[in-house]
Amino acid sequence: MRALLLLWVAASAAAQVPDSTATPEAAFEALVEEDVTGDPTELLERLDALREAPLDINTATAGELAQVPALGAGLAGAIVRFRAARGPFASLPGLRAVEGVTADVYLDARPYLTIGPALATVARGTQRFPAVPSVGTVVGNLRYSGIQRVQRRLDLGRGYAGPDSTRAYPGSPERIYTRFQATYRRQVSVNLTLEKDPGEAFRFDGATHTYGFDYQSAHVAVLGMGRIDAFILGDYSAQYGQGLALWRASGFGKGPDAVGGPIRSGRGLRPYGSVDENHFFRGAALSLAVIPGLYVSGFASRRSLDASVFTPDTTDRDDLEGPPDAVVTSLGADGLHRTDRELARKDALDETVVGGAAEYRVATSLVEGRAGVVATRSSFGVPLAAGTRPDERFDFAGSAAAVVSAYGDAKTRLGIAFGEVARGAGGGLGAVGGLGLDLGGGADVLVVGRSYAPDFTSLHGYPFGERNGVGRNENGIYVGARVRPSRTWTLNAYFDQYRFPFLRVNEPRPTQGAEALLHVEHRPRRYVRVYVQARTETRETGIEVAGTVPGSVVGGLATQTRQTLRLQGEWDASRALRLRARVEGARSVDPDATAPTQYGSLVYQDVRWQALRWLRADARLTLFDTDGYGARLYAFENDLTGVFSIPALSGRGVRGYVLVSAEPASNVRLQLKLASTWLRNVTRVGSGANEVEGNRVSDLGVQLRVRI
Amino acid sequence: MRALCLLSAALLLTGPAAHAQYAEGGTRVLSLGRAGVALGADAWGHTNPAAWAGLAERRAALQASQAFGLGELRLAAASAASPTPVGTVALAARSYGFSERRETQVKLGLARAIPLSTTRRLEAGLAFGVETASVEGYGSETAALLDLGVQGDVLPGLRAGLAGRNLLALARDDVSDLRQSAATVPTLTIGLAYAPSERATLVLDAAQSLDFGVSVRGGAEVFVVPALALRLGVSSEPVRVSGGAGIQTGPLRADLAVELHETLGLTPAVGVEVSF
Repeated sequence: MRALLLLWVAASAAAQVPDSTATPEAAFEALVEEDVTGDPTELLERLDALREAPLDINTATAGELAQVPALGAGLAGAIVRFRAARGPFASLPGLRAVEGVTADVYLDARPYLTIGPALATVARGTQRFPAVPSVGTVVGNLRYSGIQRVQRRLDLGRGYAGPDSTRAYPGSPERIYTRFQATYRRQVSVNLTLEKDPGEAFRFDGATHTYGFDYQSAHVAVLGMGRIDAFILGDYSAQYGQGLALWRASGFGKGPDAVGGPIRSGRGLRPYGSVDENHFFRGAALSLAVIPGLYVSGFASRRSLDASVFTPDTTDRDDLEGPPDAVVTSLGADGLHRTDRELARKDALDETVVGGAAEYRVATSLVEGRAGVVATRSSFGVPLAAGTRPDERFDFAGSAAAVVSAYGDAKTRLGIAFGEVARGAGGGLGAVGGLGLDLGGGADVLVVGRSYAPDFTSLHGYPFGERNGVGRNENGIYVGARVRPSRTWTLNAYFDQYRFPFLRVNEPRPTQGAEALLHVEHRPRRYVRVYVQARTETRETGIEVAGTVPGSVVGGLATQTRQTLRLQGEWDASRALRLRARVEGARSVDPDATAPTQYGSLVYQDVRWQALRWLRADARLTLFDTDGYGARLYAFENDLTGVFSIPALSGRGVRGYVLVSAEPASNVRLQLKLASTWLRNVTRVGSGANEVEGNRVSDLGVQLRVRI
Repeated sequence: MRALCLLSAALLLTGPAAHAQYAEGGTRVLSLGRAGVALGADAWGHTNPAAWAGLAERRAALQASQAFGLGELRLAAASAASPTPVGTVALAARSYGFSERRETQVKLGLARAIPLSTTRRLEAGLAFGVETASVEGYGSETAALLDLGVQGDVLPGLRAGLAGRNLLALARDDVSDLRQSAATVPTLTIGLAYAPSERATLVLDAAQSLDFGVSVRGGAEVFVVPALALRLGVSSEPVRVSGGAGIQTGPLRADLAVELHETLGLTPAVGVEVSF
């Protein structure tokens, strides 16, 4: 029994942990609410890469520093201005001299930052462009890494019933992810990513670009060498300004960081190696520094997208009443290619994108900022069909779409101002702009306004808004504030009022809503953190009215309210043991007046045990009880590195997981996660081909990462 | 059997009140609104088995209660804990019910303090046990029990506790009617105990039960004089208000508690503890 007790919670005083426990997962856990904008996996990978190759605080641009979660755009600008005024930093702790970089901020940011040798720093400071290493230096100092990950559900649904089942998926239930990468500092990246989703088969089919793995991504990239800001062959993403025209990476959006989350800081052209199968470009991209501060970029992409294509059968009388030529009726988004129907949609639509951007960056002791223009044109091999429903009136239709935008931001000692205006396909306008002010005394405030016309279409944009990634048919005003009345207390709050001026799916009239959050955090000691968070959102949503067609203009609207209240405490009991607990309640008022208000609650206990220098275990047990999905509760989970997990818990049940991470050598990391959810009073879990008999769903994941 | 039917009807009508019938865990905790997951040095270790680890000497305790004044809901319990070189070993037992339905529980526990640094330590405990429920004419069933818990001083005067009760039943969904005892429902509890002075303690718990939702509980204990403590408590789901007093004289302590349920009425409890 003694051994069992010791195994359970023993905290070896001799066990050591890294100096800082700030990890990409910790940043997500602190900043993510119920969802994140864009592709969270890409953001996790980016933060992990940042941790692997930290930014040199004497050479990093404001845009690069803004990627560090603890800094954000405001502090990134302050660091660059400080550097311009007083010269390079002599040491990493020297960052503390920058106004706003508190001890907590410094500790959270430190894992992502480094400082180069002093002599090199001085030399770099005198250069107009980043130094260009020799080919021999690059080749001789390449770092190779490989990741092999296998995840699978242990309780399988009917889709895996076997070859005799008409619903059986052709492939195995494993999700298999393989990645090879070679990097030289942050300047060279060669990458190959391969993935197979559950149910997809290993096969070779040139017509759908399937070569063993269902999904492949590769790139060769050179970044920050001389005049070359970025040169990429293969897969890449583009992010400019506030994301109105181009943005496919992630941001934290609305959340506990009330004055930092909504601000974006475009990084320009960047190599892509993630697993979101739809949102990236494939081709060539080049960004050059024409003169110091002025960057000109151009890119071209041609790739295939998942789509449902309607091709009329001229021998069928019914088809003659439809469009005379082939059209796209819908675009795919989930990247799943298991069934014949899903396979038929794979890569059915060719898209060609060309674009360019010009950006001027300035960094002085008084102001740090940028201004630029970007334009893109997308053309499709098959035109997208116009919708027939009233709410589809302004949906994009046709075979070509162009977007042009202008953007800029400026950060000074007083605060930050930013904005972007774009003209989308069809002539609609979109605009977003904001002003953040440092009021002194530890108080900051941010106001962001947005106006995206119903006919504003930006196929590759992803601006800030209520509906992540849909920068269309929305007006809103966001006000956020952060107050630090003392070293140990931090208060974040925001209020967001928004309106959708035109119809939406199943919403027969313009609708509106409002959302507010209050987050109060207390850190009485470095090892104790407690916060309370209250969130409420009220919005109009469509309801069915007896005798009417769903979504018709004579349908009804009702007000839906969802509220959550959370209390969380965290205690680093020692360098080896962290305990955390959360209690959270939810209330959801259903729009249908005949349905009762739903309530939900959750309590979890979480332990992180660094048993040995090379061995760590994370475990959590959650009990939840909700009246229905409306009162669901979310809890971010630690997972295999690079995997994003924030399950929505509804019903009554238990969820538990164990994540074991071992680093037997400095270049090897092995992880294993086992997670299970047990639901009470149910006999089936899931739906469709994924429906599982019983009340339990378990998942297992294993990952091996090797670096050379 | 008539009493059993009446009892069942009452509990069905009151929903989550099923928990309320088990007036156990020590008279002190009962009078604090049943909040006590962060209270250390407790002979019962009912809310949190880690509480046994704080005992400096052997302690034995007895408790008797009668939920809502009903003779059919009487409960008698005993607990004894003894510090040893490997930790504090504890044995607890209780019997609840009446001749037609009786639930008997026995638990064996171990708790110990684990040093984390020169100044900080974590107290951890676990308890294994069995509970047997028997209904006259229907037979009996037995279930195994497992409780785990930790406690520690987070800040000067502020103590935090985490505990999980009846964890072996977490994944079970095939509980028979006979075994549907609210006492064996899995529950996670988190809580704080704050002592602003040597004479006062405030406690606050949140307990999430798998079958009865979340219950928030709070209480206050004030030593009017060193020998006399007055206690007040309140809890939600179900709403209960409680109060009580404790008299300490030498190694002997006597406690009295009264709990008022919003629907079902008063529950009295008495207890004695002796250190030796």
